[in-house]
Amino acid sequence: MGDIVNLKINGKDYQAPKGKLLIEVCLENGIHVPNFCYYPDLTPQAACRMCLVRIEKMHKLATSCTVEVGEGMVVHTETEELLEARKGMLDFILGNHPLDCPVCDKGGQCELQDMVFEHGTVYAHYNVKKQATPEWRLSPFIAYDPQRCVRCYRCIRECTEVMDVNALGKIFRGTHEVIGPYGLGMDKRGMDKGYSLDCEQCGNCVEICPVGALLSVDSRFRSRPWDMKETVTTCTHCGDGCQINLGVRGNDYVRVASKDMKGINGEFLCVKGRYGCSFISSQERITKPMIRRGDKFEEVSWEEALRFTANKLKEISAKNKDSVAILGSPRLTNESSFTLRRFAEKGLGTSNFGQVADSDWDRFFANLTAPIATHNQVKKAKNILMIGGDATENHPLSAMVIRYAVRKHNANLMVVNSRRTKIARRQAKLFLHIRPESEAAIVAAIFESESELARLADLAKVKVEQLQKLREKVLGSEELTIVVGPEVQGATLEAVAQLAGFLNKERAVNYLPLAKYNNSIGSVDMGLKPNGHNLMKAFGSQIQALYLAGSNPVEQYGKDWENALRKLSFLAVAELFMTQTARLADVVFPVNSFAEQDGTFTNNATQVQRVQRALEGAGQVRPDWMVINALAREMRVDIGAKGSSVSIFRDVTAELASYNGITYERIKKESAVQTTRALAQTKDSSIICKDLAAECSKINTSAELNKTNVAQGEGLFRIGTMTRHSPVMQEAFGESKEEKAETVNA
Amino acid sequence: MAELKVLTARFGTPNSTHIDTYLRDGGYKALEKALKMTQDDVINEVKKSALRGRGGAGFSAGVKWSFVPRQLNKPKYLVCNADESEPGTCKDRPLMELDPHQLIEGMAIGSYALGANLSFIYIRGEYWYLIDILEKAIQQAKDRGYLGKNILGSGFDHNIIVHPGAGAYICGEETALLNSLEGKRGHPRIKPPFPAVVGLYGCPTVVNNVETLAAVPHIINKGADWYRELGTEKSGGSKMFSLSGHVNKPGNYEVRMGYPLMDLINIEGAGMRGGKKLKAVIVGGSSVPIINAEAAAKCNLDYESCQSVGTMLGSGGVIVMDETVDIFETTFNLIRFYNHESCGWCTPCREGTDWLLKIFKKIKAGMGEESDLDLILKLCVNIEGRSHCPLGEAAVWPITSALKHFSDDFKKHLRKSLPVLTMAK
Ligand SMILES: Cc1cc2nc3c(=O)[nH]c(=O)nc-3n(C[C@H](O)[C@H](O)[C@H](O)COP(=O)(O)O)c2cc1C
Ligand code: SF4
Ligand code: SF4
Ligand code: SF4
Ligand code: SF4
Ligand code: FES
Repeated sequence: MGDIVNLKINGKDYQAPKGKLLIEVCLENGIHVPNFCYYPDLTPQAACRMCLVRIEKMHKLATSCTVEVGEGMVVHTETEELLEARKGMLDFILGNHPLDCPVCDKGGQCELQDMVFEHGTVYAHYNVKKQATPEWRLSPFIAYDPQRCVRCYRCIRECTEVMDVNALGKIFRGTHEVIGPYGLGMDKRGMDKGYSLDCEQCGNCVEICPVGALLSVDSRFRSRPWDMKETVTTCTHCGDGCQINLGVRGNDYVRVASKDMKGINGEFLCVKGRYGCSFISSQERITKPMIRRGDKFEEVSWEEALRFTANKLKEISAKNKDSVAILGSPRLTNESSFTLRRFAEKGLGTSNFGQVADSDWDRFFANLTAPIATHNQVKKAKNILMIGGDATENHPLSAMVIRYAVRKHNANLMVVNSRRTKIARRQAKLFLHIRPESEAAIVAAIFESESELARLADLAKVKVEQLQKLREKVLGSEELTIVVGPEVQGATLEAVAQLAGFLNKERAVNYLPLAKYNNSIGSVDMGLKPNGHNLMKAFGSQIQALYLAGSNPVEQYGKDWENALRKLSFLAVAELFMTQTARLADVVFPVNSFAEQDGTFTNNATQVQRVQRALEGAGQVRPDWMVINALAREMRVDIGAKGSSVSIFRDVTAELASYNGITYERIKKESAVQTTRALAQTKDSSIICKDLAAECSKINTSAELNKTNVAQGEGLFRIGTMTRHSPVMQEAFGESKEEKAETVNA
Repeated sequence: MAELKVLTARFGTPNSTHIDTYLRDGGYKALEKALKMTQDDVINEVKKSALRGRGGAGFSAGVKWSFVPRQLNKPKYLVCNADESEPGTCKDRPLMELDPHQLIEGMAIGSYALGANLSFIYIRGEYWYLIDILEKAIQQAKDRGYLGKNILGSGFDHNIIVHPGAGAYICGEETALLNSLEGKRGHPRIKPPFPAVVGLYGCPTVVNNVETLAAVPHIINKGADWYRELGTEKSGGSKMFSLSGHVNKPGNYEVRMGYPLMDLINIEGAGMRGGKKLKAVIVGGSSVPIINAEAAAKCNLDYESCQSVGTMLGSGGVIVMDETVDIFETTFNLIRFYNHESCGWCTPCREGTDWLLKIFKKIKAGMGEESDLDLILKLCVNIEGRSHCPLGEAAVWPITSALKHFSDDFKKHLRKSLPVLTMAK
């Protein structure tokens, strides 16, 4: 490492780290070398032969994607011979290629098109018949057209190396070779009529396919790249907060792409991010305010809905300010959450406000003793302790970066989980498979003295040796990244947050909390405590009116919430869809989706990222914060309302120290700006041990280990309030399918 | 007189596959001797013998062995390449069928020199009937203590596993073979790293042809000088040639390196069948350039001489063709083979052989034009030296050489030029 070598490329001198791939040195120095099978971070292939260069003293042309630079190397990339070779190679590729660019979705964004344009006239004329192979629908999401495939194997490597799904391979040999899923019921030509791609459906293989061979079914034939307006924004489906490129044609959703993106996730996305955003153009979106009249809702004007709501809130609040409650959600933007809190505090003067969520991230941050890791930092982590959480299913980007750390530099991953998660099974060096809800015992084992190990191991139902090993590793590592799952709560979560302080300050420890939702952390920062479940208990008694924004607790938490909501004398709901919760409301406000507004989300790495307007909201929808502003105006209360998201965000940064210095301009430049958190005092470990002991006493020691493997899709394929309205997600994973099958069989 | 019996010495012996007859004929003495030598001495002896790989490339066996980093704290492996799929080549078959212990002894010596405790015979699936013979012989060797733990009290452990392939030509290429042996798809790997450093399961591995390994006991027994002097300075020893085609007595013959090709045809092969005239010879299995009678007359069976007449010794599959042969047809046959066997990994071979085959089909159908012959050559230029593994080149050489020496055979298939249509008066 660190050795620099001198080499000559096209007569000019260059320096590069020894062992770096020649093609990377060329590309980084602006020397263009065409390539298909080379891809950053994926293993070299030497398959497409586009990157051939002449290296002096080698008797054949060399593939620059496999050659490592060495001292004194003399390289040519632009000779006559090479230009001919490239043209010739393109001719080979084009030979059996259908050249149906006018009906190919890739047209206009195709690497093969670009390369042919670049190299001009052909080398040899293809005067024989092309091979014809039918298209193959691999899954509801993905189709494969073997004729357009250039056999660069990017897709296979993406799936194997980056995703660790291993769903794709090569079938047949030679000219007949095609890409396809592994051994599932195929006819004689290997063509399966049904869907046979058993995988996470992330579409990352589609994204990096250089040509139109792998295609997303849901966006197919819907737009030309140049007919689309693309907007970079933040995905709303989990706490990781991937950057997505949202393509819109006219005012309709077309697709989500991630090619060449440089945000926290690079080009990575998961099935929800890539295919679950089409809900924004769903016909079922509510577009007008509605007031309940008996059993029915009646569409009314904004003026009427606002006046009606303002009067109700005023009336109920007049008797007792605290009888009106405001609940936001971990899905709303920082700007809307901030406005909600201001409205509660300044406009209504109620102390009953917060959000509907089941996590204690406020307690985590109050006890935090080390910085938060960004996803990029996790990629470089040497030791990772993962307590709880199933990143593969619920935080796909976090899972990817953890896998990356293991794959690229063999990071020591230690997993503590009550479930047999995929990461635990496949990447972990040490897996403590614990009894359900016994995380406290494992955390205690790190704080407690060694003599307690046997008892704690028993509590968690793990082997003492394993617990011992974990303890040693954690106490002994110079660098440690602690990933915390959402099921770690209460005093255990506080103890985890204190762990870095306990380990002592000299070491480089950081944390990645697996917060569930896109703005779990931002909404807490904005002052909306996750106290919804507590407030719910007072519905109908101390609390008579509720303004509920962006939450569907009836679907999420069931009957208890439904009953509680029914006890209220007044319920206002701001929503995208007529959810089970909205159906109980007295008034429903139609609001903008993330794609129709400007704002920010704060992800689980506490980075602030932009939400940008990609299309106009249909009908009369408004952003949540704007509804609140209008409501305050109608009630004649001053909440210091601001008329744009950017000015609201300025108020946020002025008020919250951790957001100081963050501006929209800065986010635009840096893509993600991490907030700075004040670290808490390290508590005396005896206090922590006492709290943990209390948690340990709650462990149900008759609970058995859950031995079933987490099934692929448990989280990824779960249909929710929004993905339900994405047609392709509904087709693939919708409830109806199995239910239908069951009734047929019955 | 010309025929030499080193590798084939025991082919006529009754019950030649049994260890008792092998021991009676002096078998396993070389192993005994080698185990008393240092590993370096064994390697140097093989180096000095000028034994060159009989699988096709002709790389010095001793030099290849010396590339293995023996001090590396990883297992080392020796793999015997018994995939013998080169059209025209069938000389490894009798070596295994008639004298399996000679191979086993060679592998044991090689493994000792490399520090390999486990070695493999990767055998083509179609040789299923040899698997039984080999496994029986391996068991006998184990029973007598020539395989297994602490061989002959030397402290050296060694075992052999026979692993059948599934019938792909490409799995004879050493790195594709290693992939296949690991249970993966048979694609050639990127070199470097070479197998000697990163081979089977990422460990140092030597891949040698059956015939190469079978020669080793003789070198140890009788000395490197004796072996080298059988052949030429640079191509030591004897070699087996699979003589096929229009000769009176086709068959496997062992001759000294440097033996004249015409003698092989006229003496061992007892001359051209039916007294016809010699037209062409493929000397080293189908993957080498074809030569005409004139070149054949000047060709001796060693690496250097073959090169001087524009071909290669290859695996020693000598295919003789008389004047009745249409070289277009034989070349068509070969391109069909290479297209079928292309693994599909790299663009020039996968697409190039397909394109070439289509042009050959067009010519065969009488639709070819003069320009198609130019096109063929143009495509060959872009495959040769640009493919991922030598199969691409192997597909091209027979074609370019055939077009060079026998272009008339191609031209006669071309479409007669059509009369130019003129306007009716
Ligand atoms: C396409 C291809 C097929 C090959 N097939 C064989 C084979 O069937 N048997 C063999 O011994 N070597 C074969 N080789 C050569 C091997 O790659 C390798 O060079 C050889 O096994 C090394 O052994 P040697 O040094 O003893 O010759 C083949 C090479 C290529 C490129
Ligand atoms: S969609 Fe994702 S998981 Fe499925 S084959 Fe493609 S890369 Fe693999
Ligand atoms: S489908 Fe696309 S990514 Fe996969 S090998 Fe073919 S061209 Fe490459
Ligand atoms: S990982 Fe999360 S943020 Fe990224 S695309 Fe998937 S759901 Fe969206
Ligand atoms: S030259 Fe042919 S056989 Fe060799 S890697 Fe390329 S496609 Fe496969
Ligand atoms: S980019 Fe190097 S061979 Fe494909």
